[in-house]
Amino acid sequence: MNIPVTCGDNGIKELGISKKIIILGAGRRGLGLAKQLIVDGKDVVIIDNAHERVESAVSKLDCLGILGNGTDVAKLIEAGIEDAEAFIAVTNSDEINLVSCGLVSSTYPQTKTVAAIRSLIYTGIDGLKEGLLGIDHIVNPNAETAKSIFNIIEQGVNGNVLGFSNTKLLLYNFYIEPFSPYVGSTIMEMRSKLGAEFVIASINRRGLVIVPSGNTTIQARDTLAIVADSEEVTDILKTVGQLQKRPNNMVLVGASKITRALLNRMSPAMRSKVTVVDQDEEVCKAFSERFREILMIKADITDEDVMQEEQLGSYDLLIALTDNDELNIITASYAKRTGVQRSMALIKNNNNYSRMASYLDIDVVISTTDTTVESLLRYLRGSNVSSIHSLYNGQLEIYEFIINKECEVCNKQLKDINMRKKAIIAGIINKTGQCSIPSGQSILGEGDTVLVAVLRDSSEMIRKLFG
Amino acid sequence: MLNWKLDLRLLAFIVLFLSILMGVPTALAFHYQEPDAIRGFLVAYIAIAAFCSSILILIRKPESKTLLARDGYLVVTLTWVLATAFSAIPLVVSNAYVNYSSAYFEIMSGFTTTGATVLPEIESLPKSILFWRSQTNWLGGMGIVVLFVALLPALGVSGTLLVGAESVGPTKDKLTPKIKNTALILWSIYIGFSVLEAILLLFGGLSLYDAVTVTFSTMAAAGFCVKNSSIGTFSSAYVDVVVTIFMLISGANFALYYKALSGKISSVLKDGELRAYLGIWAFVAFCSALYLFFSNTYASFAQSFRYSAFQTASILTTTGFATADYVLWPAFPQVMLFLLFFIGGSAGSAGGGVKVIRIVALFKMGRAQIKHRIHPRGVFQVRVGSTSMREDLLLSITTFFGVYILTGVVGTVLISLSGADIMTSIAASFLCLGNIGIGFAEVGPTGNFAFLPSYLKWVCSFLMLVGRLELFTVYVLFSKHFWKR
Repeated sequence: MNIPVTCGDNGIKELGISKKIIILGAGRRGLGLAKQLIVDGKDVVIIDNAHERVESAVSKLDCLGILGNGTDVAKLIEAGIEDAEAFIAVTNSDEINLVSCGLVSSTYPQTKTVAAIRSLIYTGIDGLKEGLLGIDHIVNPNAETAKSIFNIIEQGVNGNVLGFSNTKLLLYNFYIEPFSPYVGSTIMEMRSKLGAEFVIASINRRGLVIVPSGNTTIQARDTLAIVADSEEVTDILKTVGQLQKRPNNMVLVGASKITRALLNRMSPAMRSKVTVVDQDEEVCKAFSERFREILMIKADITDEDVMQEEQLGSYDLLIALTDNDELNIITASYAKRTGVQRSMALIKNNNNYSRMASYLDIDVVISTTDTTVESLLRYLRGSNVSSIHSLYNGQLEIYEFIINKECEVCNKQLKDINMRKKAIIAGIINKTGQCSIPSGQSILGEGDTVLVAVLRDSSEMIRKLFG
Repeated sequence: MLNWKLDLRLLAFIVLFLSILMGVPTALAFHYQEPDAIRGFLVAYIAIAAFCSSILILIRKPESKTLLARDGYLVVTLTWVLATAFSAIPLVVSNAYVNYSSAYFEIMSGFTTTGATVLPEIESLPKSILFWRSQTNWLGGMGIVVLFVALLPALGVSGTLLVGAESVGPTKDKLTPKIKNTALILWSIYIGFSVLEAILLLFGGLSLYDAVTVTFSTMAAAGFCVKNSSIGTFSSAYVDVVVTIFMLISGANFALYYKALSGKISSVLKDGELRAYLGIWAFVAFCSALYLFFSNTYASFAQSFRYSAFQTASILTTTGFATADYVLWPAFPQVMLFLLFFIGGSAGSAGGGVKVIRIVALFKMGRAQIKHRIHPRGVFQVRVGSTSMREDLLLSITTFFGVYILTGVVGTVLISLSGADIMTSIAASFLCLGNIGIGFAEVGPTGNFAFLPSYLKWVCSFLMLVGRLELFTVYVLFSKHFWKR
């Protein structure tokens, strides 16, 4: 997503005046976004036209709920649009999102407007360069998801691998099997055994995320978020017998909008190794017409013959992208049993599945809601945070901060920065683009970019420290 | 499951916070040089310190900061129970009250803004103890937990559930996106009105001490007074008028004042509950005044209106002040006042009782039911003012009213065990449940609760608590499901 720099700057100026953010639509995206913004200390007002959704939003979150239509100016005024910092329309209707944002931006041009638009008709395949109806930022959930899936494929599908904007450092999730040699050893011991430079940014212990110190003991079934140089990652993986490998050929199950957006991102050479399975004949025809390189198969993926005939088990990667969450999870899980090396499942409708599915052997569970919320947050937070990622259902956030002179931590040694087990500095990239894994003696210089892994509840504090 | 550790730590912090507020009467005790009272407050401080430090030392910070709705119910109920338990200590240690059950009754009556007393004679009590008694009124009026949420970050816990379990009325209105700011606004309005009333009372010739204590009880719609014969002691028409107006202010929804302050006066004036509330007051006050005048109870209509307006406001808003011994009035005005026992203040006010909005909704439901008999296929919405009420809200209102009356009836039966007559039993039970404070017969404006045996004082304390916390916050704790699943 291209963040328009000018808008970001406006955002900072307004930050001092108002903290109010109005969210239209109390669906999964609206609630997910509201939850994060409330943690950031914003005053959130949610508008929705369904009584039940407003009720549940107000009972779950510390926000104001207003029952009404987002295209009703009176309701917008009741929500306090006059002095709002941003207006975010995330209802399920593109048209309502467009109209309401248009209304707001024409009457209150100082308010940032953000709309979620699904249909590519409005935005074009690559997204709009210039704002539509004066809307400051448009996010397309399908395009965001496709982009995110594409990045994961590029990075080799080893759990969640995150890349950062201008560095070779990678963050990657490492699952500790019950019989792993590292069970019971502390992080310091693990580091000396491996003999590689890395930082364990956090440990996800059955849903509870902790920021570890050197003395933290690794337990079976922990998921470690390791930040290391991309070459080192390969080394680390070799020692534990798991080789990182970029998938060569892949199966995409379901020819949905996301599939289309994903294929659009791929080069023709990459597409030529892609097989798409869908059961709708018309859709199959349309896809094979649009993407000549791919192998398009019309079949029901749950049919055992298809797996046999097409040798789906021999593929490197299977991505289940149908509109049916359950089918995606079952397919991705089953694919691993038939021999597919890596599998990914898309969660579109019920975000709760992403937590449940992560307990299966599916390598990556990707949710459109989470991806959209992350993208929106990145836009709203703007400022000197060059990018953020969130992990483990939002419990851990990874920031990239650029250190400036006024900042409190500038020219300090890491051991002198007290982050009280709430955050960890996982990497430093200096002005020339050289990246290093920090130690206690590392000094933060002006212009350095730091990667910081932060527990969600402390993100405000850490952002103050660095911002 | 309950987050025990967090709940207990929250409780400890709230009690600690309360002890800071007890600093005011303690300072007064030193100022007036009342050794008994000083001893009382010091013992209370020691008890609080022992309680809080043992909790905060023994119970480490919990891993999770998640509160469920049931944690909210538990914390709020226990806050009230414990706050009363600790606040009652000075009363009994200073020998002002004969035993702990009397002191507990008195302070529960204070926090729940009931205003019922067990003492026939109070003016001989140490001034600091009387001040503390009135101050509990004021603290309870807007809610102890609400104040805590407003002023302290509440251990990083979202206060929504806590405030929801403490505030009154069928719906919980938030004024601002953040519950903390809502709580702050409510308390600021409350304090603003209190300062205004105290100043006006000073102009009426009251001493600072009297003005402040009267203000405490008026703004909280509570009814404690440092004088034996309540507001009647001052026998000043000016004071009567000021107190009447401020009782009416405290009995209205505080969210409306915020709306009015933010310039939405027209929507405030259209508020259905406010109109009904003022309408009921005007109607009862005027009819009673006419009857009092024509029955020659008072010499002039103006005088009749002064007393009836005061008494109507006092009972409607559940304050419980008295300027006249209305038990000596003819039956009609007394019956009118008795009917007010079943109405109470507005939702979101400092007052107790069933609440005007519920009563209005019940009447409207009756009307819709009649229309429904005539047009079986008709669709009739129940509206209060301009807002139509949803089905589930109406169901909760009828349930509330049913359980409320049932609670009052059970209370009546229990109180009659003391040997009190029928009217005393009914009035005592419903005046406790409705947090009114004065009733009829033996518990009328000149009466008190001294006749109750100790165990019934605990029953009455319970009635006051469930009345203030609107029944279900307390009753859920008695459900098997609350503790098991």
